Parts: sequence; structure tokens; C-alpha cells
Amino acid sequence: MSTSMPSPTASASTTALPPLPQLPAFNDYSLCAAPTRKIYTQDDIPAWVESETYHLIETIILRLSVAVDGKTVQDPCHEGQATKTLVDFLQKAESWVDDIPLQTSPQRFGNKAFREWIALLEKSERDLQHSLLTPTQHPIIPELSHHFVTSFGSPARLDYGTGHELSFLAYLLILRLTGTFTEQDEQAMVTRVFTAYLAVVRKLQKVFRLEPAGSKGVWGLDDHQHLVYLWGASQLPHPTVRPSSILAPQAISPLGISYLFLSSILHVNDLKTGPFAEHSPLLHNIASTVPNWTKVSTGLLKMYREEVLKKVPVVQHFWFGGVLGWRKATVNEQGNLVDPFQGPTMESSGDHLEEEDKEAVEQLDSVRERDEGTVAPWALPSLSGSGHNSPVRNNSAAPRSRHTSSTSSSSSSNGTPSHSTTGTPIPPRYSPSNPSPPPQPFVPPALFPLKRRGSLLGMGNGEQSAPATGGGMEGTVAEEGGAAAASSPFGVLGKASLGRS
Amino acid sequence: MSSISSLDRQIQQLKDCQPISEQQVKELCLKAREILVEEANVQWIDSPVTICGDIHGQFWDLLELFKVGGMCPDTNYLFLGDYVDRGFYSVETFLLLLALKVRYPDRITLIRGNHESRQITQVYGFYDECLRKFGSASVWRYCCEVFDYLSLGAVVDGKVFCVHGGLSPNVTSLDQIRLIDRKQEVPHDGAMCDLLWSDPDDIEGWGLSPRGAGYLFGADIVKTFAHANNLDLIARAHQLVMEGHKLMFDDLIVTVWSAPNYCYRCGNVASILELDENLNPTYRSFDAATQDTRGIPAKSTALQYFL
Repeated sequence: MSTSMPSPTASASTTALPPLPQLPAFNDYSLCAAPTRKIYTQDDIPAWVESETYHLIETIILRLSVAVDGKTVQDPCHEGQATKTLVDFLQKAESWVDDIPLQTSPQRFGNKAFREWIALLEKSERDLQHSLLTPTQHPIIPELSHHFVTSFGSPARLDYGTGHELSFLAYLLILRLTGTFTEQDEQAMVTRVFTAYLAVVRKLQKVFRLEPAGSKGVWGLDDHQHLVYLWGASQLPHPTVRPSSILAPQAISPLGISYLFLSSILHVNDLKTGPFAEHSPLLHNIASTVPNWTKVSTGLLKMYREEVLKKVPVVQHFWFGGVLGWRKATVNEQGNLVDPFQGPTMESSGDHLEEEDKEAVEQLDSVRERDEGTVAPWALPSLSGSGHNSPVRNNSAAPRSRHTSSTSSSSSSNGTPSHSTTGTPIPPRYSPSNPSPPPQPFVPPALFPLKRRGSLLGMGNGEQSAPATGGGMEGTVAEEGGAAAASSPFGVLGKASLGRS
Repeated sequence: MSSISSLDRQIQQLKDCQPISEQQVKELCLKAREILVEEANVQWIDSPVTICGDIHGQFWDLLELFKVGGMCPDTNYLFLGDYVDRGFYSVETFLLLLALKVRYPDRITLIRGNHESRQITQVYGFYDECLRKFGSASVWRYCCEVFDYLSLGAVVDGKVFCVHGGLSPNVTSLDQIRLIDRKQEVPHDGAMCDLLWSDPDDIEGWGLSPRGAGYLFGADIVKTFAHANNLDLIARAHQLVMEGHKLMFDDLIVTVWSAPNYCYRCGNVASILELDENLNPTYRSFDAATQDTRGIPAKSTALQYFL
């Protein structure tokens, strides 16, 4: 092991590395509590980053990365009872999709039949949790179920995004902390369980046309997932597949079933039409500028911190209970929690919300039962002090005089047109004191597209620009949000596996 | 001073999806503001005019739109906002439209959508795009300063009210819109916010919007408003329509959507609304630009995360 993890040479001995942070065992069931919301605004992010839960999430991401280092999905691994139970359940849940007819009534983009699938899930998940836990562990079920049910997308908004993926991670993490999964199971947690989960959510996205809950359009890594790329990159020390290989989908196609990163690329190509560089510029950028999978892996972890874990629109939906609590972490030099689950409870801006404001927030959440387009960033009525928490009702009968317009002929007014825009969760509150980001260093605009008529160059995703294999970093671009990992309990993947002592 | 020919050159460059310099962006935005500041909150437009909905940075599809609708200045255009965010080419899209505005101020009208806002563009992609493409936020900042000057609506021949989102409980007549001081970031509530955020819905009266801004409004509201202001039609955008346009409430309000295959995946067609000199409507639909008419994005520098 030299500078970074995972790497091809490390794959043989990864799990034995002593510096890998440990996950503590949760066994004080008196701590159990129904999960509640703690993250309301940007002001809550510093506390969140210092929380036990944040630390545990980073730890499990790292551990699972290491567990699949160099492993394919099919590689044999320990499969405990919990793995089998969960995989069975997920496969069954996947098959429900085929049994639910799509709604044909006027639909917005997402199909409301998804709600029937969620109802089936809610009906059967309790039995699943019971079968995974011992009776003494049952007090954690409300918390466990919350994360599980929110793992598959929002039935209200008919969308799915990285926040839902994060919920599934939290679910796995709780089971790992309670001993339902052990260290032995970690490889299977990705290659069996997470892979089965991925099959479900991809099917849901496709069949029910769940909208991206991520909001940046092409300027996000992927419309729906992130972790799958992160662990997928860890799998990929591979003799012939390099990051640039993803630009040749035909070539990687046979490997899709073995490698999560590659299957994700194939999935994106399946879901989207148009040039890859245009609809997925960040993935294209990775393919054409990042020389090896180690850097992809470490970069994706840094990116996950900044673009998922620290983004209020995502983590405001992450609720805190007894296992994954809203408690301050103390971390020792080995990157392990000191007195796990015993940290002091922290403050949240929600503590200062009046009850009626909280109700207003919930009212707004509940009214989102149609999928909507862009959501106002200040859409926390309680916090903006605006009047949106009191819906205007004006039911006075309007004059019913028929007001014929000159519009008519060529239109199809009574078909089944559907209305929708891409759904997005509530982004963080605007801070008037910080209306615009700080100035960034100027780099000449060498990044514009060059118009080339495609017929000469071939069509489609075969961007022929030679992918950089090594020195493709001719300049730095002022980045989104800053990738500093300073506040993390441990460094990037590489450093963590190097150890601190 | 060869400003027109230099502007024509910039337009040609932008039509080719090629960059203009940051300095040129700055000057273009300044000129645009000088023009826009003179326009009314509800800009009067004479027919015939072609009305277009959301574009969202889908540059090559905007060129398709021009193929279908004719090029500016041959065709008189009204764009209903949401030029930026989500798509790959928000910068190019907005700058091309802006350059056309500066070159042919009487042949193209650009009104403000809810995405023409500092706050929204920081969340939905345009800010990220400017950073990626220019390495600094200057271009984003110049564009945002223009956003503040865009009109809030337009009225064609006094009979067709055009707005990005919809109506507001605070606005019963077009004259009330004229009283708004629009040269600011889109507020979180009030008339200006509602015009850019609201949606028609099958309800009675006003309802809470799931977007957290603006309102839902029903057929009764639309009929009252149209009657009070002597309107034949309200044309708005703001919501994806799989068929490109959708008439509601006895054809009194129409949603026009001009971003085909929205976000590269929705599979919808786009449409534009042509109003002739008698305000007779023709909806023309179009599909996304084919691969062979799209340029290829230039190689970009590595993301900071991966260095």
C-alpha cells in the first residue's frame, strides 16, 4: 500500500488493514427513538458534519469501498442469513413492479402507480424487519423502517435521487451496527444486497418514470445515484478497463453485470438520448481527465461529501433517531468514535421553530402530492417568514360567462396531455447576507463546445476526443462548493487506509 | 463604429455555439440592460408574433425552434422565460437570445421566468455551468444583472396576456403589474413572484402551490381575470407538457413548452405558438435536434475533486 486506496495491489489484504475505521456495536436499546427531522437550513450543516451519524456514514462508505476493492459482483463471498433475506425481499419487491398496471389517466411525467408499489412495500416491510432482528432489537424498527421506506423514492413527488440512495445506506448501516450484518458481510452488502437494491430502483425509475430528485440537470453526476459510482470505481482495478473506457459503451457492455460503475453508465445510456458528453458532462469529464480508478474513487468520495452529504436539499430529508442520532461525535486518532452513541445531543435550527411553523413545513410537504417542477429554495415557510403557509382560498363563484377565445382550431385540448416539470426537493434557504458566491479565479474560456457537423465525425456517443490518460489536468476550474475534506473525521479514502498512527 | 457588424459577428459565433469572450459578454449584458430598462413590466407587442416556452439551455433544440418558426428578425418572437438551468448550453442559449435582443430589439421580446434568478440558478445548474465553462462566476453575475431587467409579462394586441407562470391573487388587472418595481431579484412572495411561479390547476379559486412559491389557480380565476382585462387568451409556460402545448379552461389559458425531450429523457415534443395578425393561433411542434446537427462539447478540464 503506498499512497492511496483502493488500488490493484491492495485487493488481497484490504479487510485486514488495521487503520480502517471500525464500526461500533449498538446495543443500548433504551436509546431507541422514532426518527425526527433535524436539518432545516444551511445553519444545521456544521452540526451534521460533526455528528456521530455523519461519521458513521463516512465510515461505512469507506469500509464498503474497501470490501469490494477489486471484486466483481459475482465473486464468491460470505453470504449470511441477513443477506439472503434482504436479497429475497428485494427481488420480490422488484417483481411487484410487473404486477402494477401503469395509470393511464392524465399523468404528469411520473406515473402515480408508483404509489401502489410503495403501499405494497409499506405493507410488507415490517415482516422483513422482524425477520432480520431479534426481539430485543425491535425498538429500533421505527427508525429502521423509516430509512427503508424512504430508500425507494418519494411517492409524493414521484421522484428518486441521491437522498433516497443515502437512506438505503443508512438502513444497511443500522443493520451493521446492530450486528445483523457483520464485518464478514461487508462485501456481500454491496455485491449482493446493494446490487439487488439497485435493480429495484432502476426498474422503478424506468417503469414509473421517476423524476430526478437531483436538481442540476446535466450538471450533476447522475440523475439518481452516486454511491454506486463510488463503490463501482473501487471494484475496478481492471487489466483493460480504464476510466476512459466508459466512452465506448459497446466495449464495456459485457462487463456491466460484473461492475457497478459500468452498469451505471449503460443505464444512463439507456435512459437518456443525445450525446453522452452533453447529457452527462461530469461523467464524461471523469472519463476524459481522470487517469485511473483510484483517483475516480477518491474523487467520488470527496464529491459525495460536498454534493450530497453537505447539501441541505438532500439531507433535510435524512431524519435522526436513536441509532443514527443527532449527537456530537468524538473521534480518536484511529478514526473511531469515542463512546459511540453517547455523544451530547446537538442543537438544530428546528429547535427554534414554533410548532405552527413545523406544521406549516409539514403542510407544504403534504401538498406536494403532485409532482412539481422547480421548487422555490425559500420554500420553508417557517423560515422565510412569508405568507405561503396560509393558502389563499377564494372560492367566491366567478362569473361563469363563457369566454370564447379565438384560439381553437389546431389544438388538442382534450387529449391526455400531461403536465410536469422535473421534481426537486427544497433547496437551502437563500441567505440575503450571501447573495452570490465569492469570486473565483479566472480561467480563460477554453471550454466551450466546438460546433462540428456530426456526419464527418460519426454520430452519437462516440465522442472521438481522445481521452486523457494521464496529464489531462491542464488547468483547474473553480469548483462547485469546494472539495475540501477538512471537516471530515478522516481524510480521503487513501489517507484513511494508510492510517494515522 | 462598427458595433452592428461586430454584434452580427457575435451572433454568428453564438449560433455556431462558439464562445464570445468574457469582456464581450460584459458589454453585451450592459447594452441589453440599456434596452430592457426602457421596456414596460408588461410589454406591448403587436401581432403577428411567435410565442415560445421554456428552453432550459437546450441550445441545439433552440436552433430547431428557429428552423420551425423562422429566424429572428424575419419572425417576431416572444420568449416566456426559463432560458437557463438543467441543460448543457444555458450560457450559449441565453447569450444568443440576448444578442438577438440587442441587435433587433423590436423583433424579439424576452420576459423573465422563475429560473432567471440568482438564487434558483445556484441550485439548478446555470451557476455550475458558468463556473465550468468560464472558470469564474463573472459571466453568471453579468447574466443575473440582466435577469433583473427582464419584463414580467407581455400583451399581444391588448388581447393575449403572456407570462411565465400565471396569475397572482395580488393582481386583478394588468395595470397593477405595471406598478411593480421589477428591477430586483425575484422576491419570495407577492405579485412579482406569483407571476413567475404560479400554475393553473383543476381547482376552484386559489390553492397552495407544491412548489413553495406562487399559487395554484382554477378556471374561475382565469375567467374572471380574462373578463376583467378584456383578454382572449393567457399564454404561459413553466410546466412540461408531453404534447408541447396544453389548453385549459375552455381554451382560455395555454401552456407552451419549447424544450423537446426535456433533460434528454422525457421524450416530449416541444411546440411554439404562432399568432397571426388576427391572433389566430397555430401550434407548431418540433422534436429534439438530431445527433448529426449537434456540436460536440469541447474537452473540459478535470473537476477539482479528481485532481
